[in-house]
Amino acid sequence: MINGIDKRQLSDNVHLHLVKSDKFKTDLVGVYIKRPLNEDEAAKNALLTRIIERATMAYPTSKALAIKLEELYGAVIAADVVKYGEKQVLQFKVQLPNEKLLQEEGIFEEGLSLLNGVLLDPLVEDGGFNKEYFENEVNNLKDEIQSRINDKMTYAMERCIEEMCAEEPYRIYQYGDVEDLEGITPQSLYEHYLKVMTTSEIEICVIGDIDFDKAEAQIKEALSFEVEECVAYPAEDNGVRVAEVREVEDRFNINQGKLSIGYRTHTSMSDPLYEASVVFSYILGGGANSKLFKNVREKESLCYYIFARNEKYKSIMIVGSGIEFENKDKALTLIDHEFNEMLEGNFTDEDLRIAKDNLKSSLNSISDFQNSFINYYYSTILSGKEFDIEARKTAIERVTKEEVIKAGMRIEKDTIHFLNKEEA
Amino acid sequence: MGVTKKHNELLNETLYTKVHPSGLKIYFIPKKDYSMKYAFFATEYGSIYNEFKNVNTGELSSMPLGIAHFLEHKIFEESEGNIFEQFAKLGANVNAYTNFMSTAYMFSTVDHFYDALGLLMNFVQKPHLTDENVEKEKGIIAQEIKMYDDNPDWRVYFNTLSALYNEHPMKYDIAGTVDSVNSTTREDLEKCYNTFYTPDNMIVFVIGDLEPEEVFGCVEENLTEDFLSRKKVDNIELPEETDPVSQREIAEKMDVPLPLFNIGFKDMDIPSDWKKRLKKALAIKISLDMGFGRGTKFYETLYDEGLINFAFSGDNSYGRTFCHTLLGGESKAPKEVIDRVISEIKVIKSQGFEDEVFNRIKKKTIGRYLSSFNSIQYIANSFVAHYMKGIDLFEYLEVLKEIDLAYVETVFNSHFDEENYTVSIIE
Repeated sequence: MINGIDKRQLSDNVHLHLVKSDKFKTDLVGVYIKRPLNEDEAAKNALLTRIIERATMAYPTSKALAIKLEELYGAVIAADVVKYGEKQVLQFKVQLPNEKLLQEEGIFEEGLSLLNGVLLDPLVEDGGFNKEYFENEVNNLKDEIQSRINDKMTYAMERCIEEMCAEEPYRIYQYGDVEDLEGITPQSLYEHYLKVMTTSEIEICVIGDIDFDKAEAQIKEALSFEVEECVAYPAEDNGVRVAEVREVEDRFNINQGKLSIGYRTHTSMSDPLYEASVVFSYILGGGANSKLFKNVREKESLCYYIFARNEKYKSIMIVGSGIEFENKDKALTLIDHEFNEMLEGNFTDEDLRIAKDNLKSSLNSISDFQNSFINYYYSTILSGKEFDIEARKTAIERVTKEEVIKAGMRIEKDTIHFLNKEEA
Repeated sequence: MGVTKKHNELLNETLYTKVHPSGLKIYFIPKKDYSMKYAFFATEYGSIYNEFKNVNTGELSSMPLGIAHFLEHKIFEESEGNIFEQFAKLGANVNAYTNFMSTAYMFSTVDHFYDALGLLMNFVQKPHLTDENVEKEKGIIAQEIKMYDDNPDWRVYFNTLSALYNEHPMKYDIAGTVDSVNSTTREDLEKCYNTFYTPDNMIVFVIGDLEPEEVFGCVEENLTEDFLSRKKVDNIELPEETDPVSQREIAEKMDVPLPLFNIGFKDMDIPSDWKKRLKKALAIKISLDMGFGRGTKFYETLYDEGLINFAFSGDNSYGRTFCHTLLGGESKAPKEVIDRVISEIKVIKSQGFEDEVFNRIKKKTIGRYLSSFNSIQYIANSFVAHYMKGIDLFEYLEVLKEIDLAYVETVFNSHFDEENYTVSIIE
């Protein structure tokens, strides 16, 4: 349960969102800094989150910062970039055990002061970031980008999207490319940092057992961003038509083939049929009661996992599964068959009921998780909608079978990607 | 039978316990204002229970590897209808897992909790095994095994265990092998079900904004006669595990951009008293933070030299019959990191830890324990996992209080044996 939400403007383009809930053991502060997703910035933004969380002027080594967090009862600072459609958002979070429970004052304020250090007072020397830390993190980020292939399930889906959106910014990996890291210097990254901090829309979300006015005063004190004019944020093009279905293959030394199919839904979040398109993919491949799970896994024993998932900011649906290499064509036929069954209306009122109930229940449970709650809250800000879970539930409840079919009729298959074994 | 109630001050949480005359243990933690509710129905029967002996007849059974996990898949089979669909109709999500020591079935839901709880109780108490549906499952499990075979994190972990242990079944993958799965029969599965899915070997755990009387009432109403008539009469048979590790080094080639590594320490001194077992495990965890955590000179030096990244970490794992610690991560020079870990162990043994560091890490441990009670999902998982080790999660802080620096040092010195460890590398 959420006891109350309040929104306060701190300055131009900087907003504070206060969420009171006394059921948690911690308080969580999240700072979201929005950037356009493009080749020039993607790797720089990713690198930036890694550099500035390493050390601050007050805690000039990673060790000193780590010790301070341990002293604050194992408080956690996390920084990363997240891709939301064709936006790249730098996220900084600090989670602190609640003072009232520990019966110790000052923890929240000290946490904010650490966040201030990371965001507004990072370790800087001679007009640039510390050279050793910089080189360290460039190498680590290179390794991290290259290690994408370790998680074959996610990698296969991302490769499908890369191929599918080859001409759109959405193809860009959330951490950019290894090549983009070449040529960045501690000084040029610092300049980029100054630009990001002064030209981005910034949202700050606080959730916990807090007092609104006190928290606002503390945040104002610790996080005084000075944003001037914001960078432009080009909107996603959700109308890309498919000329012909493309088939792409990558080969690795692996034991299981990964099949991914990318579709264009042509239904954006502001479209009246948006909820219907979500229901469509839920009935098709959302969980163990879905058509794909029941038929491709349970009936045909072809796979262990299979699902359909929507990329909500980009009007894309992906179907993913892990199969024997020689079953690729069989799986494709079965997936097409289930997809067409949906278009022909061969799903029951009960399937529709189940999909709606489950989607509504996921919305209800968001408030049980602090981090999910503020991330969801932020996603509504991004989509320009009001934060109103009841309205979202009503919209889902109103979806009719006809609308699901209508949303399905718009969906175009775009790209088939297969992660195959190496040729003998 | 009475309900016992235990309150934890710092957590501000209450645990209700009821032991049914059949031996089934029922636990409930109320969580006011949470929308989601979780229920677990779990048996203390996992992948290491492959050989067991009937205490009355002395009959010894030896089962194909991975059978506990196979059985988990088959419990979902019903004579009519589909379990997933029945839960989905209630807006509930059902799932299950098998690990070394247990098999657990759980669901989460916002609405219709008691209907879903009844469903959970009933499908686990009544499996529907046929030769045909057992055959059908083999293809699905084979794909599950192959999925994990392509996962380097999983491989480096299981390779470490297979090299650490000589005889203990911890050395085998939980799902077994494609061959062992293919050799599993309906009769094998039935035997294991009847042996380990008994009330005295199982627990129910519920958490959410609910009332204790209704939770206990609903569980008890849904106990079937067939289930209540079963008693556990078999004991797990474990081969003698000798102290030296099975293999000093194990390596596997995979397409990884950066090598993955683990260093593993096995400890055969496992206290039979559960509080001592928890105390020892907590002391090992604390020593890992004190010796190799992010606040140490060791971590800083290796990180700054580019030998480790943020993936580097260590953790201790234990049960009633095993205890080991794995330290690992990714490195361009895994052997160098391992040498440095071993040298650091020697340094710590000769110099000891500092009091100040100990107090700081203790604070961190308290804070992390408290924070973990944010998530009802985490509490449910953690409570059941601790139960299967014979540990009461609510006593965690009490046991933590008893730990002093001298004890941590004693445990560290005996647990980390710089002459007896296993190295696992994927490159």
